[in-house]
Amino acid sequence: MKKISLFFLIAILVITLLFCLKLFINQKNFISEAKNTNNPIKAIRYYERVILSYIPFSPYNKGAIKGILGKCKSLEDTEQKLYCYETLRSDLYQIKSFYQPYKEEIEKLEPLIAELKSKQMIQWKYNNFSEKDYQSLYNYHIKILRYDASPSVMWSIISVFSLLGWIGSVFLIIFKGLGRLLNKRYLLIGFITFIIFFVLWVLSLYLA
Amino acid sequence: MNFKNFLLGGVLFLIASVYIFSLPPVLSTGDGGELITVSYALGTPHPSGYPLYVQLGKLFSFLPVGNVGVRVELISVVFSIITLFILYFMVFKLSEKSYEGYFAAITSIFVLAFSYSFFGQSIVAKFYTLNSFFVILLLFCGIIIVLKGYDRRIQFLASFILGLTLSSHHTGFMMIVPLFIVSLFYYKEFFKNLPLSFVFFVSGFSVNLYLYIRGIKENLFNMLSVTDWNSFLIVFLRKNYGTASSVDATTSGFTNFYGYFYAFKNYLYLIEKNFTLFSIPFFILGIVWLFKKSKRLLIFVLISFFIYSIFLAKLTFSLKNPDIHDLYIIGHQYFIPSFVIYCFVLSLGIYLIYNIFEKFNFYFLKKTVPIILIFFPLLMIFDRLTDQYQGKNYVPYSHTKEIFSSLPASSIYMTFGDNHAFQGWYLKLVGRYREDICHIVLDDYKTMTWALQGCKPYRLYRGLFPEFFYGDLIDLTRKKRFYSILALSEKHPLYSVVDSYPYFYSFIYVGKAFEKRDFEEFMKERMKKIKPLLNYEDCLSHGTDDVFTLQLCNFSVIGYINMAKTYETSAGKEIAFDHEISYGDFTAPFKMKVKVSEENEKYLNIYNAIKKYNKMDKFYLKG
Repeated sequence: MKKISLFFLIAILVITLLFCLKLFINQKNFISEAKNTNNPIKAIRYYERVILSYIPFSPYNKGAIKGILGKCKSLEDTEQKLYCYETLRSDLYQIKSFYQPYKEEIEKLEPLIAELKSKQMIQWKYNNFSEKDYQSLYNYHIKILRYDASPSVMWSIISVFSLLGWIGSVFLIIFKGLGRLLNKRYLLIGFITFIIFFVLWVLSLYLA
Repeated sequence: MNFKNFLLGGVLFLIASVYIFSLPPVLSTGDGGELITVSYALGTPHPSGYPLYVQLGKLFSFLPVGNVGVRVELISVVFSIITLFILYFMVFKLSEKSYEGYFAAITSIFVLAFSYSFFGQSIVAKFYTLNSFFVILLLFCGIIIVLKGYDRRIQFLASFILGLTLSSHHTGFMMIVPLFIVSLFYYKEFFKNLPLSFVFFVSGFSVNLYLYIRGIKENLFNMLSVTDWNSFLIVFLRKNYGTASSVDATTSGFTNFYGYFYAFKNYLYLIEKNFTLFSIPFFILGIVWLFKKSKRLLIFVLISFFIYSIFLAKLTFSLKNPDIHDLYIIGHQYFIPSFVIYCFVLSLGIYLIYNIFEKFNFYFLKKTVPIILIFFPLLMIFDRLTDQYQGKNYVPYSHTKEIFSSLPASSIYMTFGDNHAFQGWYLKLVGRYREDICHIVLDDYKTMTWALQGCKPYRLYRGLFPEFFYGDLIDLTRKKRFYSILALSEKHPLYSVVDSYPYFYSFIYVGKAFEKRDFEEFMKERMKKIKPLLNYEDCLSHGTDDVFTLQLCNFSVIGYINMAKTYETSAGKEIAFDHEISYGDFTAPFKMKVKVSEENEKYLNIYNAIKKYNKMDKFYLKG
């Protein structure tokens, strides 16, 4: 049993390391492609792929964010500007884990995006909007941008670990408590941990 | 660490490396987008809800490296590797830890790992490797009981796992048949422990409580919400799939017995494509070995294999002439557990051959053949790296993103079919890209019933889309803010009031009464504006034969015809494009005439290059 547990631990470690290696190679390749192209949209696309291959503490993360922001500033067309800011915001959301990297960048981007969208809606000649509608359009956009319906990180973590916890306690009951002879100690421990984790699982799923 | 463990570690390391480097960098096509979104949102995907997969997906989404999509894809790699390890472990144990058994086991995990469909399912965000893991675990439980005698702990464990399979892909539950038959050999003990087994089964099944708990909450994403017993049954038993619902599909296994002929034929075809026909003699020898070892074991393994191969093929794959979609959606996915069992028996066949070498004193062969044989399946790596490698496949992500980017602020974007819809959900709900777009999904081509998961909460979108929420769609088309991937045909209810015109990689809907000349000017202006967003590189470098990727690229060519039209001059040779675009059972016409000159020739070259690179017959199972 110990050997099998060791196998799983090593397997997870190896898979994680390989995964990081793949991401690092991606980052390295795309950052150089981004720097080598003269096409700003292509450069944004390559920088985006660097961010999507996010590795904590990698110097390429910051470089790619700076690269995209630089391109955004240099673009003059409002639609391309919107594409640029939206790309960066989206990339940062896609690398969210139990924490949100570069949260401060997202907070800076949202008003800019709301502003560009409101202006576009007014400039879109088929709409019937004028400058006086700007504020209300801006308010609609900023509310949508700031609305976060994703589940609570803390309760989500508790829910998945309590699920693993109660599944584990069932294994404990079966293998340690219900051998040829009943082992009351393990049965009790298994039963209590099962109840605790199960209740926690239900509650956290609801609260997440 | 001894040599055997070192070599096993090296083999699994090699397989894991190839899988990880072949993962799609953001999201995979088909269900991938939906399952990633649902995992991130702790929501409910399409029936049967897959609550265990979703919660594992949530766990993986917390990994602080990469993006949410590729993290969820990792689940498949992890369960593939564990499945391969258990396969090795079973063969090694059965061979009583012999040298020959060890090499037979290593050979079989190579054969399975680099077979077409197992490889394909190991690198995408789908639940089939998790399902295989459960099946092989249950198979292992049965083997232990047969060989070591009855142990109530194994009965309880199997009951618990059977409960868990009903919170993953339901086909895992079919292992109940062979396990029940094995139990009959020990019926006294089995029935005595049945009540407690039922308790363990229920505890495994209770993972499905997830569906209700998350269904009664306002959630970022629920495909169908479970709020009471009835809605639970609809989702759990897949009742909304009609004849493909769980109950109806299972019943079909016991009717029309002629269908078993096609089931056998089609399954044999899959074996040929995945393992070649040369593998069959080894499989037969494996059966011989099982017969010699234990008749009970043979019965158990053969019933398990029959259930996951021919019987499952009868339920889902007994078609006279399966087309490319049947092969891709059914043949490429559902039979993974049967392939695992096939490789298990196959490795026992290889082991039998090694035993024969020993029996006849062929010592040289006994020492060398096992080592040489390991290298043969390794050759399959090169095949997989040319047909299944998705490490550069940005198509599902970039195709959707470019469609979103091409739309004016606050547009409606309507999709139909899983591929476009699921990727749209990922981009909108996980990536939060272009949240001003209201993404709606048509349930059926010929209706106006749509799902609004990509346009929630309504209270926030109502202000931007009063026309849509108050039912004046024509006004929205007048404002040129209604886009769709659907070209309209007379079958669609909007056809009588709206015309659809190609717009970038999608279509724009315009009221029939509008001035055509204004529209042409609008189109020219728009195409010039969004031209920089064109991205043909991804469709010319994805490197995979994945059917949905090929379809997306083939769909995107309308953008290049459109661009060529925008830049046409009065001189030039006229080319007529007369295609039909199919949406499931429906087709819509696509007609356009373009004058080709130096100005626009490059777009038609791109069109031809994409068509050539993404030919549908590239799909390996089709050939």
